[in-house]
Amino acid sequence: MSTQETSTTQTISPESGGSQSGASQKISLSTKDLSHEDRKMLHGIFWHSFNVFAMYCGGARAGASGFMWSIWPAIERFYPTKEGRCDALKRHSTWYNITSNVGTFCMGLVAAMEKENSEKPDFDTHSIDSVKASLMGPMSGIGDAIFWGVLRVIAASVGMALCADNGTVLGPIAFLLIYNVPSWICRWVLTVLGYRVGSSFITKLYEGGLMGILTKLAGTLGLLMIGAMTASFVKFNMILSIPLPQGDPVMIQTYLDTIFKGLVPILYTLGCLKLLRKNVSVNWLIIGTMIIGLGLGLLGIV
Amino acid sequence: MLGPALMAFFAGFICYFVQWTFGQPMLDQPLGVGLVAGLLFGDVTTGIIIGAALQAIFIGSVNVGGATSAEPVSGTVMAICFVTQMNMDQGIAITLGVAVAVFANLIYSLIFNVLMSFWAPLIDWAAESGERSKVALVHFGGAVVMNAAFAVPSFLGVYVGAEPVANLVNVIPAAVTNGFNAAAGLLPAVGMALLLRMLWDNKTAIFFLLGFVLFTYLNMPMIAVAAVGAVVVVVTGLRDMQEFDIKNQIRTLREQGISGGATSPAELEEEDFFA
Repeated sequence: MSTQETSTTQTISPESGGSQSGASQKISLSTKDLSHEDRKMLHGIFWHSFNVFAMYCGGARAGASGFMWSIWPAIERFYPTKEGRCDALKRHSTWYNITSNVGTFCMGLVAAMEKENSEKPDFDTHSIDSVKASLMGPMSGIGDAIFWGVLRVIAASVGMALCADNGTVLGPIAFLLIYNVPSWICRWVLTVLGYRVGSSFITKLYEGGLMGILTKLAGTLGLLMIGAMTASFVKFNMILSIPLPQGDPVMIQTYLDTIFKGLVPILYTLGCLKLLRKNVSVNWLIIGTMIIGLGLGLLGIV
Repeated sequence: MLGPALMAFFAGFICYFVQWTFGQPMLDQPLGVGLVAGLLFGDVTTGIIIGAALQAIFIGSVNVGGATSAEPVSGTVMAICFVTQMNMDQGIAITLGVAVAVFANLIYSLIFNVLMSFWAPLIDWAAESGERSKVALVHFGGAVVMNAAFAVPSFLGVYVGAEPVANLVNVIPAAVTNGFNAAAGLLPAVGMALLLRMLWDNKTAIFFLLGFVLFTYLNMPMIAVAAVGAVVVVVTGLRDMQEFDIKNQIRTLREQGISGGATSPAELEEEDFFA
C-alpha cells in the first residue's frame, strides 16, 4: 500500500481524516477551559494520589487499594449507581505500581477512559486494563530514574553538605524542599496531561472506530512490559549443588541458566496464570507461594 | 528502656507513615529520619549529624517497586537513640545502624511483600461495596497497620538493647532467611499472572516472551524495553491501520455503489489485495 493510496482513503472517509486531525491537536496544561466538574475531579485525583501507596498490599496486589482510592473522584462522578461504582472499583483492584510522582498521568488517563465507558455502553473495558498495564513499566522506568536516581541524590547531596558538620536544621529542610517541590509540580502537571491526552486522543480514536486496534496495540505493549517486569520482579535462585569427586561442585542454578535464564520465574508465573484461569483463588496462590518459598528455604534448596 | 523504646517506635512510625501516606516526600531517608528522631529525643543537632552520616552510606540504596537493598529508618532511629540516651560513641552507633538497616530490610520486605498480602480480601470487600468510606477504611486502616509494623523493629531494637541487636543478625538460621527471601522473590509472579490474565491473547502472547528475554538476556532497562515496545506497536499499528483503511475504503465504495465488477465482499478484498 503506497502513501498515495492512504491519502485517497482519508479523503474518501471523513471520519478517519477527522480522527487524525484531532489526534494532532495541541494539548494544553491549563485547566481554565475545563468545566467546573472536570477541575473539581482533577483536584480530587491530585490530592488522593498523594495517598496512593499509603498501603502496599504485598507482592501480589501492590498499590491496588491506593489506585482505587486515587481514582475515586472519577468513579464517583461518572457512575451514579452502586453497580457502576462496584464494577469500576473491581476493575481497579488489581496489581498497580507506578512511581508515585508520575503515576498521576495514568490516573488522569484512566479518568478520561472511565468517562468514555460511562457514556458509551459498548465500550471495551479491557482497554482500560491494557492502558494501565502498558503504562506501568515505562512510567516507573522514567519516574524511578528521574526521582529516585537523580533528584533524590541531588537533594540529599545538597542537604548533607549543609548539615554534616554542624547539624543545622537547614540541611534536612533543603533536602525535603529540593526533592518535593518538583515532585508536587510534576504530580499536578501529569494529572492534567493524562486527562487531556485521554479525552482528546481516546475520544477521537474511539469515534473513528480505531479503539479495537488501540486495545490490541496497548495489549501488545502491555504483554511486552509484563514480560520484562516478570523478569525483573520474580526472583528465584537455587543454591543446591552436585558434589563432584574432584573439583568444584556443580551448581544446579548454572544448569538451569544454561537451559533458559529465568526458567523458574517464567514457568512459575505462567503456572500461576494457568491456575488463575482455572478459577483458583488468588489467596490460595499467595499462601501456596509462601509455603513453597519457606519449604524450599528450610530444605536448603534456595 | 521502655520510654526510649516507645519514642523510637513513634519516630519510626512517623517517618514511615508520612513517607507512604503523603506522597513519598523522602522522610524515610536518613536525613529526614535524623530530623524527626532528633526532635523526639530532644537533640536535633546530634540527630541531624547522624542522619547526614547515614545518608551518605545509604544514598545508593533505593526503595523501588517494593524491592529494597537496605532499610535505613530503623537503623537511623536506633543509632540516634543510643547516642542521645546512652551516650554511645557516634562511630559505633553509625556502624550499628548500618548492620540494623540490613537486618531490618528482611523484616521490612517480609511485611511489605508477604504479610500485607493478607490484606487482599479486604480490598475485594471494599471493591464489592462500591462505597468511598469502605475504600478509605481499608486503605488507610492498612496504612496504619503496615507502618506500625514497620516501626516494630525500632521498638524492639531499643527495648532489647544494643548488644543483642548486634548478635541477632547471626541468630536467625540462614535457612529461614532464605525461605522468606525465596517467598518474597516468587510472590510477584502471582501479581504478574493477574495482569497477564487481563491482557492474555494467544495472538500477541509471544510479546510476553520477548519482554522477558529482553530483560534477562540483554539486561535492558525498562525504558529501553518500552522503546522496543514502541517500535513493535508502531510497526504493527501501521499495518493494522492499512487494513483498517482498506476495509473502510471497501465499505465506502460499496455504499456509493461504485463496486466495479465485483459482487461479493470476498471479490472486493481480492481486488484490493492485488491493487
